[in-house]
Amino acid sequence: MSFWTHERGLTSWLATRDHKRIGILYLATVLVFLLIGGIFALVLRLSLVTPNNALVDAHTYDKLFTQHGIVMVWLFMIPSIPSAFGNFLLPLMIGARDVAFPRLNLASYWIFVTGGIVVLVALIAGGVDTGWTFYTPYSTAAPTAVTWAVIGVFITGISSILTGLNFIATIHTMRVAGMRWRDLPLFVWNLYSTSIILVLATPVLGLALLLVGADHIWALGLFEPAQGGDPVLFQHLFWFYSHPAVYIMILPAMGVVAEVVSTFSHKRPAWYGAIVFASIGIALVGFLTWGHHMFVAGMSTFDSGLFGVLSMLVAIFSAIKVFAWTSTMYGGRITLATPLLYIFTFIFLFIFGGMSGVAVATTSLDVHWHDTYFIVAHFHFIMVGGTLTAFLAALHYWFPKLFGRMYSEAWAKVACAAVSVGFILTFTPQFLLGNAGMPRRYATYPPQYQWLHVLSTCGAVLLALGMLLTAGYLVVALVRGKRVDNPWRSASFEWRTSSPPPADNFVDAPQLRDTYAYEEVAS
Amino acid sequence: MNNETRRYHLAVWIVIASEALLFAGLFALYWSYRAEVPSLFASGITQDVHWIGALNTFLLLTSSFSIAWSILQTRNGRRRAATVSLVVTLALGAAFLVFKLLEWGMHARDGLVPGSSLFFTLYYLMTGLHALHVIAGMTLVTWVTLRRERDLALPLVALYWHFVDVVWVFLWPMFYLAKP
Repeated sequence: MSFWTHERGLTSWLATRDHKRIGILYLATVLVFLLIGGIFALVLRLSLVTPNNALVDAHTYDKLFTQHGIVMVWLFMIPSIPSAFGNFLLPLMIGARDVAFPRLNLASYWIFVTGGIVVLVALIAGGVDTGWTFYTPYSTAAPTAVTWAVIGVFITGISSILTGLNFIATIHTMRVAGMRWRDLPLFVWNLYSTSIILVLATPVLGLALLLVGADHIWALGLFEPAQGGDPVLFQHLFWFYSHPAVYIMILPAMGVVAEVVSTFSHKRPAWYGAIVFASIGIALVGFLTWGHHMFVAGMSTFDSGLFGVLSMLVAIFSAIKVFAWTSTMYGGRITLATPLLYIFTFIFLFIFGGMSGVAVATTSLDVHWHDTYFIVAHFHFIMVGGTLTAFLAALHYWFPKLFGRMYSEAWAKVACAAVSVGFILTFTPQFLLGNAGMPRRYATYPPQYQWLHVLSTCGAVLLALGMLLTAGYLVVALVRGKRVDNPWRSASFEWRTSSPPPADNFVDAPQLRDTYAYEEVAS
Repeated sequence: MNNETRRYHLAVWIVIASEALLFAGLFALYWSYRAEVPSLFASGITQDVHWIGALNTFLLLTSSFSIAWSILQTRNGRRRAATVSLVVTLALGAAFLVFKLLEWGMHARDGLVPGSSLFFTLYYLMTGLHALHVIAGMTLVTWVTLRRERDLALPLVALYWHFVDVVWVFLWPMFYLAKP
């Protein structure tokens, strides 16, 4: 009997302490937020087809890009892979029956839902037009629902911290007897690095946002120049979290890449130690790069140079990973299934997004590109594209694990092509737009930029169609998909138990085995 | 330490690390503004009520001793002595809050409210956030006092209580003693 049928009824889900059910709840919830954030994006893109507000007026446009950012960053990307797949897979991957604190895990989910609802209330109560960055002094005086939005994000932050705490405690104390740190699957290492960031960076964001909220209500003037405050200090606090936050998004994605590449090459991951080292390295150095968002905010030349060089260090860690993944594939018996195809898109986006990242970490170049579409394209390539493609890879790779059923590979490949081409087509023109001087966050633009905006919107529509198609065949697969157990013939620990797993994960007490023993599977 | 004890200790240390970063954001603001406008901080510190600051430091440090004493008594199997020591801890925490409220009232009477100057905005934010932590700590101490099993929970609650005290040990010089 699987965890799906072990208990029945609504309360057996809403009050569950089973990490697998909580993972499923998270998955369903973040998909709803992905849909909401995606609709905002689509309306934005459609409105930019003509130079003068094709669809919405300028103020609505401001609210839409703000809400697109808030929903996508805090309600989709941050929880997507760690909270949905991490919750489901972490105990399975280390041979545990559950996470360290199951009740806290459930609390974390409901806190997340509460935060999400408060953010949605902000949207209904007039919306927010500050940009997802809530820059002061505008955010403390804006006549929109800033207070609701920052409180909502603050609440989701508490949920993040509790999830991070739970993962760290689980990895430290719940491993199957005999499992050493160097036996951990790479996805688990990436969850561990992510959790460190969640626990240490999120409180600073929470504080900064609460200060904005307090300022907005009581006019304390903490960041208001007229009252002696310094708005740039808010930017420091905000980016101290929000830069590491991109690693909260990309590190779990990298974990997915490592697992998928190994499984579909039927080969042990190359350079295990180097990947682990790079994951921890990114988590630590990621705390020291926030200043690169502020090169034009009056930062001294010395500080800018220092932050620039530290930011480039991240590229070295990232490159180590790219080489490790590609050399894992080299000489492997590759199965070109949908999860791996999404990883190819990931690697493409990651390399180009990453290289443009080194470019914008160069202070002199950044002055030209700052606050233009170039930056928008850069972070969508690396942070959004990386997270989204890895999320979709994870969704397809572990779909049989979660549901015990197989989706249609043929339709999945069509959708994968639409999503990949759509994504690249959306954001490549934006690099060109930004380089030609088009600033971000503008509702209108001079006519010479129109052809690039039209191209970008075409890409967005294709991307949306690909996502719709994905939703379609996955729903069909939920009901009518062929029953499977381990369709990929993966050797990883989580596939050793049945699909879907029983309520307490393993029928017999789990025994320690090498998680990447492909030599054994092949023979 | 068995696995369960390790798990809970790890969790409390992570909470403390996370809370430390929460305060760190405010500390960063304090030190940045102190470097930008030292005169404001020099005059602000002279306006604070020094005897209350000193008394409150004494109260909290003593409460740290009393909660440590209750751990010792628990280990020696003297439950009643441990309970007395926990009640003393609670009383000291409550006294701290009473004096803190008194001091806020005295400031408010002089027109020194949040928003009146950067120094006092930070003063209220930081001592206010700390007071919230004192309340949280007292809630935990009350919970552990009423609990039958204290061997696992009491050292964890004490750890958190010490953390709350340590934060005050930094706030005291920043708001009462060290003029720029």
